[in-house]
Amino acid sequence: MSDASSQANNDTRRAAHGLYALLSRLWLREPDQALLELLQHGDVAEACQAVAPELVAAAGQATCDDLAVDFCRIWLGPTDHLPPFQSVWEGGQFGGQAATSMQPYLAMSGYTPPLEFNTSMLDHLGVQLDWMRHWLEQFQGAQPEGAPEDFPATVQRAFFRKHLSWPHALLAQSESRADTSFYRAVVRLTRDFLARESRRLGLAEMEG
Amino acid sequence: MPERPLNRRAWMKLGLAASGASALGLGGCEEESAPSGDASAAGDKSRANDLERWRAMKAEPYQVGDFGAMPGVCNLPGPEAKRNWPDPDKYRNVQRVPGMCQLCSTVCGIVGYVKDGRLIKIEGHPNDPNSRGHLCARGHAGLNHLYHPERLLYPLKRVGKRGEGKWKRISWDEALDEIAAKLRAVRESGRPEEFAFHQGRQRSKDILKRFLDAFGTKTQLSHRALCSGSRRAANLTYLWESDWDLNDVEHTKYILNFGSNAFEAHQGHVPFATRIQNGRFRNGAKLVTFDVRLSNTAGSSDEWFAPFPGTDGAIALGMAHAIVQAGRHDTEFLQQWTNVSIEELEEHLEPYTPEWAESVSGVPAADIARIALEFAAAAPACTTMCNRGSSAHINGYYNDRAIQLLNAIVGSVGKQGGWCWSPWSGLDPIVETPPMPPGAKTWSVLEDPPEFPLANVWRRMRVGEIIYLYLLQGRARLQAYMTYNLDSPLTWPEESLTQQVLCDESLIEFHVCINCFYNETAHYADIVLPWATYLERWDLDARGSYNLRPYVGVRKPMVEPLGEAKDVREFFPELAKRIGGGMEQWFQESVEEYMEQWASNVPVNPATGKGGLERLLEEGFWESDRQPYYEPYLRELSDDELSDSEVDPDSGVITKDGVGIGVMLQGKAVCGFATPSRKFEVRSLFVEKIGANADCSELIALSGVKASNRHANHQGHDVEIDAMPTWFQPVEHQRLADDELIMTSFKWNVHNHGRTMNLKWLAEIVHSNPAWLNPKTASAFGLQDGDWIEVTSYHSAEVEARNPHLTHGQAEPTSGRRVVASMRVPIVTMQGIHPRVIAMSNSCGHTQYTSVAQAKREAPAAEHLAGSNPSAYHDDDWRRNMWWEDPSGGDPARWRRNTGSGWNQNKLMPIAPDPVSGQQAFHDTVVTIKKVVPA
Repeated sequence: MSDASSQANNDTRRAAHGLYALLSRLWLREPDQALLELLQHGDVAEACQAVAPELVAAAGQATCDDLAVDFCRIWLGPTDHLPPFQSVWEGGQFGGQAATSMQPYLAMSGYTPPLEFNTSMLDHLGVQLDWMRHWLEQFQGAQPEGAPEDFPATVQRAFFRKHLSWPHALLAQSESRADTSFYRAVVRLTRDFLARESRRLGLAEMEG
Repeated sequence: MPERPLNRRAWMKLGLAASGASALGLGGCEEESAPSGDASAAGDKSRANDLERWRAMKAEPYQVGDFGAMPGVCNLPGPEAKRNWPDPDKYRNVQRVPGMCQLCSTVCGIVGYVKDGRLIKIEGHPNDPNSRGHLCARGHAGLNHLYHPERLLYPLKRVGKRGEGKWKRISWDEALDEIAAKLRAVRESGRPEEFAFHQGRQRSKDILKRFLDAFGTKTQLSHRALCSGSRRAANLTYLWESDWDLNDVEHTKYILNFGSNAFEAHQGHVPFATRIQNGRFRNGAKLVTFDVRLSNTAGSSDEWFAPFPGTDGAIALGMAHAIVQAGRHDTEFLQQWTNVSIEELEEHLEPYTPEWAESVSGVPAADIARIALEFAAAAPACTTMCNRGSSAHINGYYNDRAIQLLNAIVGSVGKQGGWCWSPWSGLDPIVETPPMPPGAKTWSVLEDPPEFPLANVWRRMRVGEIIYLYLLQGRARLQAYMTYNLDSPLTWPEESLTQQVLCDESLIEFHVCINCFYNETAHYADIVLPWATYLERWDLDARGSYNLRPYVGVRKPMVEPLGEAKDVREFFPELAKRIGGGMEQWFQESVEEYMEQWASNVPVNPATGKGGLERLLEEGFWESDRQPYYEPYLRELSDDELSDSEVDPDSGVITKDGVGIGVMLQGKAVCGFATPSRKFEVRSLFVEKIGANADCSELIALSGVKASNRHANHQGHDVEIDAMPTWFQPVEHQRLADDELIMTSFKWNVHNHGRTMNLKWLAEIVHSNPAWLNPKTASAFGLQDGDWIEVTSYHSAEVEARNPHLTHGQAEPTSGRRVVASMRVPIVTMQGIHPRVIAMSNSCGHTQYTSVAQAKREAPAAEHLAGSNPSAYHDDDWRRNMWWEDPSGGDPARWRRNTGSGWNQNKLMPIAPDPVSGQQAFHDTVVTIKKVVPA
């Protein structure tokens, strides 16, 4: 592989890492002022303007309190919400097979999820996005000694297929359920990014 | 919406910028959550390259449809689940964890099967001496409870108006700080009673009492008056030492059931029902049921009679009359062990002939007399049983007192196979909590309303149904209100009044709701705290045992609480520390240390060498080897007990330091009953005096049982209580017009009152509650099965006459009746109901509980067609396959039978306490109905 090609791959991975980081942050917690600032000013804001201009605009208009209310209404409840857990969308309950199958990925990667996500709740979309961030951060493109060929990418593909190909219905309903343009933009950004990642990893398009 | 066509460069730019900004806090929650100093956490790179773990996975770890590969999932029915059934590996390598159910009040022992951190099955615990390994449908549906997708997972704070339903997540720190600040202010205001704790079903009595006593408020409100107040009061008048009869049905020959639906809804549910069936099928016992409705218990009985509502006591008195007249009474027991002579009893019962009983109940006099004599012939192995069917009436106290009298007349009191009790209503007294704070000394009209004389004399039996009305009337004020496992708008009478008060910040200034799920109570809270389920927390627990000896069981976390849910054992200590002012001193131990101390007296099992909590965790339960509590009144007093005692020459009562300890029986000193007379008190002088606020200190001392003279604040609220078992009929029932019916309520075997309709497995079985009408009645009103009616309910004239302070609502100009509410419901016609009765089950009609409880399903998405494609099968049974969703919007013309989530019957029920005990009369409401003609 040429240096240029290697650099391009590294950039691709770094870019993916950055987007996983941004999206996991947006799915796991309500925005704080620092995040809103990041989305309005500086490199991230400038780059985001081209990909998700409505997110930049919404970040400038909304207050943290308004967004916290919308975050709660869409994903936390307490009623008529859309729990962003894979098990809920596949089996209707917390702690299904999807949560169980997250465990070996965590064990092998050394990833520690946020405290409230215990073993029955590891299949939160934000945790899954964050696991991908972590994995990309761990390997930075390097091939571990003794590993199977293309080990990091193999794992990425396996993980993505099992744990990031599911949320189409969640995303569609979240977009229509959101009160704020900020969260409509978050959902669209997530959907678009996952579609691109699916192609980058050589997987079929997400269903739906 | 399709993906937007953006070039790769734009995405790269955003990703690289975000990657560079990750140091600013994007992504990577692990850094903040990893325990400090824990080498196994995020920073441990050695784990990051754990190829061995990857190889151990062998293949992709999760394949849709590969049910054998992944443990831990209780698959709902579906094509793949069936194809792979039975799964031989499902229970391999599981951990069996003991626990106790809490989906109803019976608290049956359970075993949880835990695999890879997930609970995969619940079954009955064979070591539970009460339930003996049996578990009902509710217990099995605990999995739905634990893993319900709409559980509360985080503390929430209201951001809109109260009741508007707008919330945001807050941290536990923020929540506890805010609550502590408010409670500290209440405490420092000098009116600690203005902090009320209002519990629904609770099985953590010790920690609640610890917190409230440490705080200094006695305003602990409960639902007892909605449940069992009259039965308990009636039992206490006879026994003093127990409010709970434990009928020895397993060894009996005859069971006389007054209105109890024990096979579905009794507090002793499974332990009691299984013993009834053992009594019938192993012992040949006969079961006769009087119930206005053909319940599943009535339907399983040998004989069923449908009396006019609230006439159970009249039938019992008619039977008593028949037995005494026929000379089939137990002369020896009556003479030795009751405080009335046979002549007095005969005279008292003289007017209560079977014919008189027939005139009010409609049950033929001949049957009343026949069954009475059958009952007496089976003595002493015969027993009555009753519950809310007889006690949830305006005359419930008298109903139950008359019913229990039958056991004394035939001498089955305390006998094997007879009408028994035990002084142990819960845990074996061998277990003791760590030292408790001194009891709070405050008084509140909400907790101890002066108008109901027997509510709080022996036990705290608070008159729960009046509290919202009293707040509305300005008789009390609440600075802070903490609700716990409570759904009062659904389970309390007068839903709209309850909602009005809960919504009013001038009446309830601050409301904290502790619950596993958002519900009709949480909807009116200011802060909602996510509570750990009974499968995720600690308790020692037990029920009054039908083995007639106490026991101890353990409830322990089977799995970690989901999200940030916590039990009160975990956050009350933290709250107490933040409130300060000395509260914190009562919360020094960790939960585990506390449990170990509490269980430390559980004896060592010689076979295993384990005792205390260790033994309970291994065996689940411990039961003492005490003898069953048969004929406790015959126990001879020891020389130690008799030393320095005195015997009253007239009554034979033995006292020591002025406290009764026994009675002389044919020259022997025996324990007797724990009453002032040491007899089974057919004539209760105590209730006569206490109703008139007379000084009862001498009687209380003689009993040796903890009881109280009425509070000074009760002066001026005299209530006339007959000392003898008697009966009256509410005036509105006496003059029931042809167009009036009496509404009663009932419960199904798969539900409790307010908490189980969210459980899919149960809701699929029962999810709606059309009104039951007798076909003759329906015909008289021009109705057919499936028609809709408008029901209008009325306040009780009897209640208003006896308790004028409860009068509220608009009076109809013509009839003078005060309307409670109107509601539209469909009907089902049933032969199995009294023609003057209309019945609706409770549990239904949620408006804020989960989508399952409200029968609202998610719209199916294209890729979620359950079972359509086995290779891409998703088990969508939970929310999308909710076949009973009702799209009619309440339009009778579009409504389909057996759809919808039903109607809240408590919209119609008036606040109607028994004037003696305060128990809510759920079965007496007069209603009118009219047909709804579909547009």
